[in-house]
Amino acid sequence: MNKTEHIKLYLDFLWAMTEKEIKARYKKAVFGFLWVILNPILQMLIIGLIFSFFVRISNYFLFLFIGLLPWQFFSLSLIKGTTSFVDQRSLIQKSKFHREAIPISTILANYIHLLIALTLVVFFLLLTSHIRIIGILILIPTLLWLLTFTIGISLFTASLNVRFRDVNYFVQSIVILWFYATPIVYNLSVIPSKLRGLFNLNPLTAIFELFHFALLNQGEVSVRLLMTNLLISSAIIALGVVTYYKHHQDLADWI
Amino acid sequence: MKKIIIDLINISKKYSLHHEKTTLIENIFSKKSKEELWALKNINLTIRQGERVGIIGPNGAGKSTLLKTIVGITSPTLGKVVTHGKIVSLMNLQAGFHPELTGRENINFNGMLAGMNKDEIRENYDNILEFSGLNKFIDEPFFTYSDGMKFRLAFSIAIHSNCDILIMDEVFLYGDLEFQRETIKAVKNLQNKSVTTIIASQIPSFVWGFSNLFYEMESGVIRKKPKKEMLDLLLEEGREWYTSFNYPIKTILSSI
Repeated sequence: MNKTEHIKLYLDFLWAMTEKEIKARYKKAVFGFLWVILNPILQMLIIGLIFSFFVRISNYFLFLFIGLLPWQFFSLSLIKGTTSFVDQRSLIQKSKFHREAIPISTILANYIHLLIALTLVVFFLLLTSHIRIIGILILIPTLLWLLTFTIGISLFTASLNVRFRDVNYFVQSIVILWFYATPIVYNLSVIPSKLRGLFNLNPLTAIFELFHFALLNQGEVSVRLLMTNLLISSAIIALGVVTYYKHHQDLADWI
Repeated sequence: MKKIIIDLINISKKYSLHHEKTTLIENIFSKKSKEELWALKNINLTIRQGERVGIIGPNGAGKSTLLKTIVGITSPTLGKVVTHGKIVSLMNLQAGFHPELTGRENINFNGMLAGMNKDEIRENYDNILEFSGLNKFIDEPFFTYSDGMKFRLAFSIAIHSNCDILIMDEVFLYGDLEFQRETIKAVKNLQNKSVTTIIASQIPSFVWGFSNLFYEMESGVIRKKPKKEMLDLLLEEGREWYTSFNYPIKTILSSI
């Protein structure tokens, strides 16, 4: 087999895994896709009702929804991705294959849902307000950044979780804290300038500000924030890849 | 001489026994000395294309670890594994299946894990279905299957996967008598097509039926077992009932 055939086989495999992931999920949920959109809508309503007393942001409900969609993708992917090797141990015991396909397919299944939901949002925005071409152009690299970052960090937590099962619990707690540390229910302009530096350390800050900027023309993305976030993202992705390669050959010994 | 298809060079495999579940917290705060176990000890094994290898040994001798190392499910701590060709394993009934998906949906997926590409799966789809004999159950979710049905599906995919090496642990014993007969026929059929087979079991008569080259494992060490010794084992007192697996003692004796 030559290289292109190998790549084609790998992509086929990754797609089959993703398809399996989606099918398995829909078996358990009658409304299927509806849950993907319903969950952020409910969250939007509850958070919106309470926080609209404290936060002064125009179109607050829409603002929330635009942030909650990628957040739902990120948090679900990270939590499911972390346990994916353990959850799907039966596959690892069958044959030799690229095991990173397990967390990646879990994440891709969520990603496809995110893309569908975002397409609906973009249509809605086209009908109600004028969405800018530049917004769509910014949205594409932002989505790719979110995907690579999610895969990178999940490879790290998933590989560790095989050895140390309590990593799963750490991740669950961190996800809750991370939600409030990311500009989703608020934007950066409500943060005192003294604290802004801290937000530069959270790689999700730029991603979520870019989502707001692309779709609502709100929010600010300074070059400094972008650069530090990109740097930290790359470091975390590298850490994930290295950790995975260190452990991928003996995953089967621990599950 | 046929070409070498599997070559194990000085393979050793170490497991650290964790009596309790390991957690990150424990790992940071306590430095417990871990107990170690060498499941494979300096194994050298060369298998040529078309050979019918049988491995016997008691529970915990390292048979499964050896097979997993050959398949590539796990990697050896020391030494080198060289394999050529497509390897399909039947070692665990759940392996490679998703419990929520139906048998039919699982074929696609398990086939890919068995190294088939999309076209091969499509071509063999009907044959896999037919051989499995699952009929209407094929559209039921996999978790509802009995062990026998799981085995039927896994085995059916394995023999249609066009593999070069077929590796089997004792999962065989799950099929009913009729399917066992078909299984044996199918394995012989593959062997005639020069597919290499490696079968491991603690039951000598079971291995005897499929193989003509024998090894014995004991606490991680492997050694060649001459046919003569295998026969002695088969005739050992108290073993007679084992031979009921479609190989009555008379058949064995008459085949000498």
